[in-house]
Amino acid sequence: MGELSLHVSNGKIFVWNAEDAATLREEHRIVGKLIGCLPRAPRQNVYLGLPLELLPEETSLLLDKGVAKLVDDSKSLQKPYPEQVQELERFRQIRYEQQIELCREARKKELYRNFNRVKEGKIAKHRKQLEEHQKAGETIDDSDLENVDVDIETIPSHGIPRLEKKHAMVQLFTETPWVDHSDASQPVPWTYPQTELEQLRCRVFTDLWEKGHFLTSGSKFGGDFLVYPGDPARFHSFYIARCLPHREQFTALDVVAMGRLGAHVRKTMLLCSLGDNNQIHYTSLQWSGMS
Amino acid sequence: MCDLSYADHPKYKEILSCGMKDGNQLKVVFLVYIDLCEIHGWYDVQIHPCTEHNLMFLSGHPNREDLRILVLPLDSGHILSIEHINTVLQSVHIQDCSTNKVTMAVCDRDSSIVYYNLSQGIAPPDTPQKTEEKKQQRITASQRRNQEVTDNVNLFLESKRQKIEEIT
Repeated sequence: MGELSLHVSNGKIFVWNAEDAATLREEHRIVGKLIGCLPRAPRQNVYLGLPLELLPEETSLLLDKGVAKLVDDSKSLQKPYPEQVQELERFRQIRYEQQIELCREARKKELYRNFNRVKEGKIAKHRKQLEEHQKAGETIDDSDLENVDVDIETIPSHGIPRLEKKHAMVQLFTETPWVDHSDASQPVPWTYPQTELEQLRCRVFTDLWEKGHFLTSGSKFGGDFLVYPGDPARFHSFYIARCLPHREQFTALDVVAMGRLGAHVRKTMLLCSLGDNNQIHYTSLQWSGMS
Repeated sequence: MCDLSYADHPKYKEILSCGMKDGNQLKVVFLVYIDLCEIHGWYDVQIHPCTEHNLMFLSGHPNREDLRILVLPLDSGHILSIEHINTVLQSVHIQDCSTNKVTMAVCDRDSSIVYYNLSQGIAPPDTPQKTEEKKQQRITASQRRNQEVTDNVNLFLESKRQKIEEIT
């Protein structure tokens, strides 16, 4: 397996390929954050899709471990050639035509599944029509009204409308298939971490990751990272990691503030600092249960 | 008029006699001592002066069967750092008491106290069994309290009824 491509754009790191995003999560325990709008559900931000944005700490770790390489996006994206536009249009047309038949099959299955309800509905509709005819003066035998029946075999094959183009699924290409990054001779520079605090964050991230945890950004919980025992989709996080310089001064009240932050969501606050022996030092802060 | 103050309490005098240079902690130590003994019902609460760091510790058993727990009473404005906490924890040795972990008792000016556990390393969370156990303990404790209130109310009503009967 080759190195995964991490795309640098405006100083941010993106993964545009779905397989790469899955590999990062499943094999390397790197979760990142999906930030792309879902085309079928644009007016919400609970469920998001590609691209996957990575934290700078995640990027540094992947580069250190030799799992991924950086790719500069600013130079690679150009206006497409007319042939490329044509090719895309042709691809979409083929996909649309394939979907018409698939959609019809799916609708048929649905009809069979709801067979009884459909039948009832059809019979009721037919009876109503007969009654209206009767009101209009037509002579309709009462026995006809009693014994309305619908041939269900005729339902599925008729009356399923053809899938309209506006309702068809459209594949959005999140990674351009026409750019070849393999010839990029210049390696893209990566300058993170620079400040002391950034270095501490990177060290802490790597250390906890090497202990087998999954980590995500902790900003929603007032910390630097959230630390999970397994995939965040399946586990709650155990810890909120907060990176603090070893000698940084804070008051006892600050300790209460940090402790309360964790206790409120049943997590342990993990104070992480770099000791004089150049080892990451952890201090756990937990609710005592005494009130 | 009553002119008794906490300064006359024998325990406060004992704290005072430990000869700590920093006077700020004295009242806090006393308040936490009283809180542990009277509110939380701890057993055998002891005072441990630590002249090296100019700090006073308390220790005691929350229940008879529980292990001794180390408590560090601090004023809410007390200034700390991770380095400071570590060196203090590493140098404190109290018999039959783990010093890997300390309960910080942060006391505000209005004497309200909040307790948080600080431990070195990555403390694992409670197991599901332990969580369930704690939950059950909480439920039984609250049931017991409610029962006590009901019993006392009944006792009061009964004595009142008897008094009325005596009069009539």
